[in-house]
Amino acid sequence: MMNPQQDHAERLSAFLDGELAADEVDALLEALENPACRDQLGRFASCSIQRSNGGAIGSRATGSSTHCDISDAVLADIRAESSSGSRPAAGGSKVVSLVGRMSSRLRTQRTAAVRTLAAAASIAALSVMVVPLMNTSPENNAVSDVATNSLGPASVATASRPDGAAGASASEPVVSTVAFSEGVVPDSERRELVIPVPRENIDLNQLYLQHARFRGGYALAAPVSYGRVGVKVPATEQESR
Amino acid sequence: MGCYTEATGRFAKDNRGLVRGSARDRRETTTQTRPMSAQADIDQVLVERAQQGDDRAFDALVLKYQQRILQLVSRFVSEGDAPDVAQEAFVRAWRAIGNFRGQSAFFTWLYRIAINTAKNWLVSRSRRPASQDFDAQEAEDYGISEQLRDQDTPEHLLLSNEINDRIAEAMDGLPDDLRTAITLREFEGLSYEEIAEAMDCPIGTVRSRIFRARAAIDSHISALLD
Repeated sequence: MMNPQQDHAERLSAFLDGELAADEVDALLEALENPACRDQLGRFASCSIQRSNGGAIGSRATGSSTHCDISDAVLADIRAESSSGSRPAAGGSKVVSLVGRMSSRLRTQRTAAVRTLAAAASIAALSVMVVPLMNTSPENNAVSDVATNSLGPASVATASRPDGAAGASASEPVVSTVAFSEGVVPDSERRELVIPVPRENIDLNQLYLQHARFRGGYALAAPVSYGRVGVKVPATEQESR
Repeated sequence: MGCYTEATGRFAKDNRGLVRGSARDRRETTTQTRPMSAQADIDQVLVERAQQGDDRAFDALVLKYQQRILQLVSRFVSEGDAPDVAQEAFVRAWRAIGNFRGQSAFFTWLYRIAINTAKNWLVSRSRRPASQDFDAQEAEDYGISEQLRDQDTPEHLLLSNEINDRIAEAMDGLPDDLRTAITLREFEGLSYEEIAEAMDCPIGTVRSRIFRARAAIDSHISALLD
């Protein structure tokens, strides 16, 4: 007769094979609360892949190890999303706020044009101006407050936006700002990055995420966290209205 | 080296009693011989729970499929980026879980999301023109993967070979009933029910034998995997 730990482990093996009975799901989820069980499931899965592929690519999944566990990072991300909410626009500013990792309310429209724009924006980001966060001038309609939610060794601030705000409209000039921080840093050390964006209806959140990942000089190791991004209207364009 | 025999629908065995063949052949055989209903049942249960907001249920799916998704995306992006891309794929799947209708297997749906995520990643890195679409089969074709990424380093290949040798060593040391059960499961892709029929034993015994085989192999190679 097996002990409970062995019983759990056998359940993991059956789960991996898709042979677990539906009435064992609760016991499975209980077992997976134990880090040791989680590790064991990961090793079972790694070995299974290694065997099924004849070992040809067993080591390709990660750097020097065949076993890479991203489950904790994914769980942290989805729980953070579940507990987050969007921020209202700051008064007097042209603000398009986005939920950093996109709430389930948002729908991302993937088009070739969006991808092209996102790639172009990433390249254009090399020429952006880095503005110290503390020096943001009021006449630039400072963004809604920027906060960083650090869920890992490095984090990036992205925007929150209300429902229905699918992105900047074609007639609204938009300059976005993204505040970055590396790990948990004091506000005085955080920097604000101004990213010029095309004046089209684009998925700003994906733009920010992609830019954030490839921004030189910032180590955005997994998990990529989220924060707030506001949108600034350039002073010259404000005057022309 | 074994070979796939169409007449019997099985792989011939090499001199170590291990069944080998191309990954594609094994996958095709697995699809033909292994009923998907059991796999789909437990996944569907977890998906339904996740759709109701149970993140632990989704977490179980992540644990189950993360290695396969990592393996998939690593064919498109660098090894250093693969965990990020895989993580992004799972988060996107979580966001879209409410849209999953169960018309396909959950892993099939997740697979497509992972490919799209990897594609977007490459486009944003300007590594591949946006006009070129990845075929799902490309991700499974080992030949294409060589064009997409740099070759494995000698260190990786050595590690992979060493792990293979350890696995083979561990399997050779298993009792016959355990080795047969794990072989029929991992290489032939048979369901527990089919294995029980083949080995003339109860399904519960099959489940236990496969677990014990895995545990024995795991302890044998655990030092290499960590």
